[in-house]
Amino acid sequence: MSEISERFTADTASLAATRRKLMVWDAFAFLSLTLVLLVLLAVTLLLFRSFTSHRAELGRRWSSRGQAALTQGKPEQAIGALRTALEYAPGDRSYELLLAQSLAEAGHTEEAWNYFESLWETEPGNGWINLQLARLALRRRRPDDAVNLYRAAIYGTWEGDGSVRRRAVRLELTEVLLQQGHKEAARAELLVIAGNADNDPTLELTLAALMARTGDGTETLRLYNRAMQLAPHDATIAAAAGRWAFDAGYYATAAKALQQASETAGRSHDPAANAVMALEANAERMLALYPDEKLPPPQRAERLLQLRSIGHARLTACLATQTGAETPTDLTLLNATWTTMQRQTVHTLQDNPAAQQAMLQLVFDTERITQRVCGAPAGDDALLLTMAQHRQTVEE
Amino acid sequence: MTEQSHSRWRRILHPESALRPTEAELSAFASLRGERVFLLLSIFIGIIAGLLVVSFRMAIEWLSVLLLGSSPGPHQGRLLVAPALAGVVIALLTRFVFPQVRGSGVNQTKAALYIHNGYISFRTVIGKFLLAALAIGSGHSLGPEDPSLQIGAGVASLVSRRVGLTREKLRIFAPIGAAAGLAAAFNAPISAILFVIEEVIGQWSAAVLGSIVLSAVSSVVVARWFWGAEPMFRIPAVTLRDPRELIAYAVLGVVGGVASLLFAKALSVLRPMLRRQPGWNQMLQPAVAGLLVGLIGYLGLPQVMGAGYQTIDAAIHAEFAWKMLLALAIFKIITTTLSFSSGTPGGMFAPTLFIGAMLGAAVGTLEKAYVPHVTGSVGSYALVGMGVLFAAFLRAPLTSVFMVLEVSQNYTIILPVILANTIAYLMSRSLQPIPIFEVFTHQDGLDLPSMEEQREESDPHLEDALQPVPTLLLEGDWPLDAVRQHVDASREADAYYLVRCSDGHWSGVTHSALLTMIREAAGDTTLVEQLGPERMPVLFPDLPLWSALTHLGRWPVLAITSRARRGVLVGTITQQAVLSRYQKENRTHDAEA
Repeated sequence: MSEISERFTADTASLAATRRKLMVWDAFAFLSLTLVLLVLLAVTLLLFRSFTSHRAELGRRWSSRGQAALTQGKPEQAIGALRTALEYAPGDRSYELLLAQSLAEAGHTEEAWNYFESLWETEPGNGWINLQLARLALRRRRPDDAVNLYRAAIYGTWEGDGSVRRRAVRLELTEVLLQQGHKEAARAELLVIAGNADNDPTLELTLAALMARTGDGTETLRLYNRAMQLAPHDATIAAAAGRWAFDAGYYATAAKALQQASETAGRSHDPAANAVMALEANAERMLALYPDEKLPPPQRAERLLQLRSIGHARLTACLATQTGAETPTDLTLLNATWTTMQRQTVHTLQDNPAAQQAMLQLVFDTERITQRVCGAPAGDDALLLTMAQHRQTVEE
Repeated sequence: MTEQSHSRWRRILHPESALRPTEAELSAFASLRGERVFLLLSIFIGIIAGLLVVSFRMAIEWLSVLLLGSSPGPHQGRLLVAPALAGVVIALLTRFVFPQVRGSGVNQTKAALYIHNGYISFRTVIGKFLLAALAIGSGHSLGPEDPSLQIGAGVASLVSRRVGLTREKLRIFAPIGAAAGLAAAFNAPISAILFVIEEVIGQWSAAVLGSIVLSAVSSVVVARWFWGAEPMFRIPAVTLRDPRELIAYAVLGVVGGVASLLFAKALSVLRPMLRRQPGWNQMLQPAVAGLLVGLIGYLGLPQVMGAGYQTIDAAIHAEFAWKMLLALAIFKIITTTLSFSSGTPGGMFAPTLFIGAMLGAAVGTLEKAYVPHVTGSVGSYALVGMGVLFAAFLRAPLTSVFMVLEVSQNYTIILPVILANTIAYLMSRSLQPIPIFEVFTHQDGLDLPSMEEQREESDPHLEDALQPVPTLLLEGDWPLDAVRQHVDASREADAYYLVRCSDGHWSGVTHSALLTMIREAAGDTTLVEQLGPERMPVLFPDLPLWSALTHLGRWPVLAITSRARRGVLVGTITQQAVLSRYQKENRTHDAEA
């Protein structure tokens, strides 16, 4: 019995010893593994730090080259450099945007479109990306897409001064709409800009010039006036406003603006300044000639008679250049109409609005027909012809 | 550690060799200890493999900058020189120092598992690391994933040998390390696990699944600690708004199927041709392949050199026109065929993804140009294209789907991926019946199991060998006197009676044994009392056929019962029936072969 007991005790002790040995062995093995692992980790970490800093440096170096090439107008070189930069700094947004810009500037329209589109997919609300896509859509002859993208750009997010950038995009959109002949849409955009514009005379001037192209004279005039109010001593603004007003038939505004321009610019031998002064003189002469309905009736009648003299003289001179058989029919008819008009006096005219209109119409018709038959007029005739061309505006 | 201490520990670790009274206890302890060590080691292996793969990737990129410059471009002389010179160095080292490092690494890992008991030498690991890094870094058109897989497997083999595990455990550590290596290289643990199961182990095995998952996750944690958690490629938003767009993805599946066929054919023709050349010629092959690959880069397509991740990224972001994408796909097939066939160590994964991405992006770009309502981005087509080539060329359909999901981190792409991958996979199967890894295996003179066949093999079930219910049925609670009336004395001695016991189980007895029982025992004792407490195992018709084999020695006829109604007999199984069924199976296989 004691032998069995001794053997049992010995076996149990042996098992415990074996277990202990196994545990010690495992502990030793895992400790060794941990040490190996720590050494490997330290070495990898050191190498990795060096590696990442080297790559970042390469990325910066190539992006600087790309930016420099882009600034120097070498977009092809910029593309290569920026692609390399992105290999070393994948996902760097600024490099990606620069690369997309370079592609667009290098004329790789499709590639640039695809690249910007992929950037757009990750950031569909980015104003700048939408703007670039809009420009590329124009190049790809997709004007409707372009307009939509311009609008997305306007309502998108912008870094920095968003309102200024959005306004610039809207101005660009207006230009696009005008080029496509969508004057009403362009006018609507301009009204939005004008409604949100701060007191910037240059902007008002730009808006006025664009508004003029939409055909909305009233709004254009308002914008020019506002520009002049904001910068009363700016000869350029005044001259631009005067020029437009004269061309559009707003002679009073033209005269005022051109006078302001002349006064601001002072005496100068500059051809532009001389042209402004000449235009001012013409505007003032226009005002002196035009039989404004606001004038007292006798005075208006007198002006009409003055116009009649100018017109008749022009007709006579033109007829003199024609041989009888070859005189154009409309000129002959015009001459016959003049015979009835010659009998009008201040008294008969001042109380007869219909006769006033008829006389004014005859003078304008004379200037138009004689211009066609006898060539471009000069002096007062030229001014009357201009007036005839903008009669509606002048009357308004 | 000395051989003496090794043998001492071996004795301790393998208690079956020591015939002592405490054998059972020690065996139980060793088993428990083995399981714990196994799981813990899996984590260690994952971490070490992760660190090595991070270093491997760094080495490749560093060598690339060093050898090809920071911005390799067309008409740069070094594009010709670097891969050619690297080829010379690789050929010399492969011939004289690291003879086991040729090829991708997948088949070598499988060979380690099935032939060498999980053994991969440390020299092979070092050689694979250095030479694959040099090859890929110098511009050879190969990828780092398969070498990473082998490096991981090598680390696992080395560590498990040092710790002193059983041969069985040593063998299964190779796929565990392989999963860790691949997971770190791909930054995609699920794909790595699935690939190892699909392509290395060939079947789901509960014994190793836990360890594979642990090691893969550990290695990915390490890789992400270094590289960040971002997926491998920056994928733009992927959407599928219109189901009609699936047609476009189906077209991509067809294109991928054809491309994979071309790629596989090119490799299966050129590789054996080059391997048949004399030794001196084989020494020159990596250099010549490097020169040709460099020439393609020099003449205008440097994108096809190296692994090509940046180019894949660029294609995903629609930076190329469709003609360029197509050219890149075609030349990548050519350059990879050259590099791989020349015996230069490096993988096939990255080139496969490259070709797939280019084809996908090309199809996407064309479809966007000609079918304006297509809403998917070029990136989504490139992504699906990668999966398509993976499914068709590498023939790992499940991995291909999960790889795309993991890489894109977007589930909405699942339908296009499944559709396109399935089409490409089926096309590839019908046009190229033998998978490419198996082709390489045969070319290398190895006889490894075909994973595709293994996956598709369906073991016969008991119902396939089921015999009709016999008439020789007895009730267990009958007294022996009653039994006597049912027994025909003229029966053959080995006739077998099935006995239904009152507890719903079945037992059995031969005719001769039953007669002896009747003769010798008292007539009022029941049959079940005479048979004793032993019962037949409970078997159902849907169980695998092999499950009957272990019991047939004890029970010549086995009762197969219904799962729906306990104890109700649906048929029997005999040894003869099982053998006949397996013979029939073999005949079918032979006929198919």
